[in-house]
Amino acid sequence: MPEFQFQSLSEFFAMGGHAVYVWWSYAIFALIFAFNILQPLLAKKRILRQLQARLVREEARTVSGFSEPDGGKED
Amino acid sequence: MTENRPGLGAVIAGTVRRELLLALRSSGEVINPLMFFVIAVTLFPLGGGVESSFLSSIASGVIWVTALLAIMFSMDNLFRADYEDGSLEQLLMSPQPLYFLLLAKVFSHWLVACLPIIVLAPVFADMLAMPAEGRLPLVLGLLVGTPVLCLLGAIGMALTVGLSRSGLLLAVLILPLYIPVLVFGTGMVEAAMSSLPYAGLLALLGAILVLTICLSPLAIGAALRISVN
Amino acid sequence: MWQWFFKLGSPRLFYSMTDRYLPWLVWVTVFLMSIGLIWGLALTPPDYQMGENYRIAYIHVPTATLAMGCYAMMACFSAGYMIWNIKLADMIAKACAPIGATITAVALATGSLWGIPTWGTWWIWDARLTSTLIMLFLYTGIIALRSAFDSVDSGARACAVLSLVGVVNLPIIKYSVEWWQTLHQGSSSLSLSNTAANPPEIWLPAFFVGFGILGFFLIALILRTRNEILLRERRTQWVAELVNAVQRREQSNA
Repeated sequence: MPEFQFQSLSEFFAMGGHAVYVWWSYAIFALIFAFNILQPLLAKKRILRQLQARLVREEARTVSGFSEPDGGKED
Repeated sequence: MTENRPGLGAVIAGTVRRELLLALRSSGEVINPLMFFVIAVTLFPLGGGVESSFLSSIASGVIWVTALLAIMFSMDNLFRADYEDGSLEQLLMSPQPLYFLLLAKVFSHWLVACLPIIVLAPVFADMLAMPAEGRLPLVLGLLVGTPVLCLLGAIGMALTVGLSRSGLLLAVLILPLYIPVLVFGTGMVEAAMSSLPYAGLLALLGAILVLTICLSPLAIGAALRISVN
Repeated sequence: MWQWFFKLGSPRLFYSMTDRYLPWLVWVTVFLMSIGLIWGLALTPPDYQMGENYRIAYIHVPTATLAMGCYAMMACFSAGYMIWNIKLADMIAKACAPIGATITAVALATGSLWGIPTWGTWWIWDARLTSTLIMLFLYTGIIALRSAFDSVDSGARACAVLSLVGVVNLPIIKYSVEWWQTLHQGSSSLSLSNTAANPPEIWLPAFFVGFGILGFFLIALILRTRNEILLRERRTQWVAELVNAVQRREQSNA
């Protein structure tokens, strides 16, 4: 059974004198992977808002009998 | 109908003749890459120092890198004018095999843009205090390596010729692909300077050239079709 | 008989399938990552040569591998797009490029951080570091090329050609850099991925972290591809219905 390799938590955070390198590596890794997940999630919200606005515009057009000459290529 | 069509050899010869004629009429196409090479090489001693030990240590790298940049900047001449006057579309629609037409086009570009640089390279190698035994591998490497650079550059140019604001995009696209040629080309000179055999590296460059000749016209053709649309 | 294959290329099917399976993927990834990270960071014995510093390898080696795998994947989807004209393949290839670039950046950063105590400097012109740097250049080239095109279709085709050219070049670049490095460096210094002789308590957590990172990558890829699907299919009925459904849900929540 694997067991905790460090005498104490503070020794764990010190990483045998390599704390700067190990923790910065893991921090960069976590930051960039979090960015890769969060960025598309935020983008999705924005896209859905845009598409909603588009649908509303198109409804207004069909109600007023307006047809788009370019087939709605405005965005 | 096929009887009236000229043979493949005649078409290739015709393409090369047309390209050379066009290039020689606008003298800039021959002079500019060469002048860029000459001026850029001159900048290194001015910027870095004139001690011959320093110069000889960077000579092969400087010559290869500036030749590589000169070729990359000269690629603009390859398709730009043809794209603008519509002859590129005719080339793509011609009943002749596009593969060989493109090879002929790139070959004539190589004759115009690269051959003068290769001829002048030993002179500049001397000015940069490169030992005499490096001269032959430098020229051999350039002879085999620069066609590869032209063919790869043609792929990048074909991808970007339709873009109005391509700017430095071409460099970003194709400079990473130039790395193997640079490594093996400078490696040949360094091997010769430490009296090691360089035939193996020349063979590697040759293998890369054969591979590039086989595959790159396909990529150039596909890229041109995208750009012309 | 090939119908199932082309059905897989339907963006709508992809969207609904990922809707169903994405939560599972997230749970599996979180599970693998938490076990792997705790195990790798705290429970494996330190390396007798590198001490605790080798724990960087648990994230460095998988990201470096994935950086290359992602490029190969992008090239495969580009080829699929060029051959069968499957639009979904291009959307996935487009999503690969920025994720691959950031993963390559992580591999470079962690490799440099590992190098500071091991080599005494954050950057050496080591074959692995150099070829990873060139990989980053290839990714940025593809991203730049796509953003230079106004037409979606032309950009997609141009990027497909470039990634296929790149994938042919990649082994040549890697080989040339390795050869160049042996010429300039003499003997190679301590290698990170020298794990063949290591006991299972060293490589088993790497296995967990590796698949966890793969899961992360797939989640990011799926999320990006779904966004791309929404944008490109915005004129279809099913996207309009989906948008309306989201709107109704928001209104009922408010």
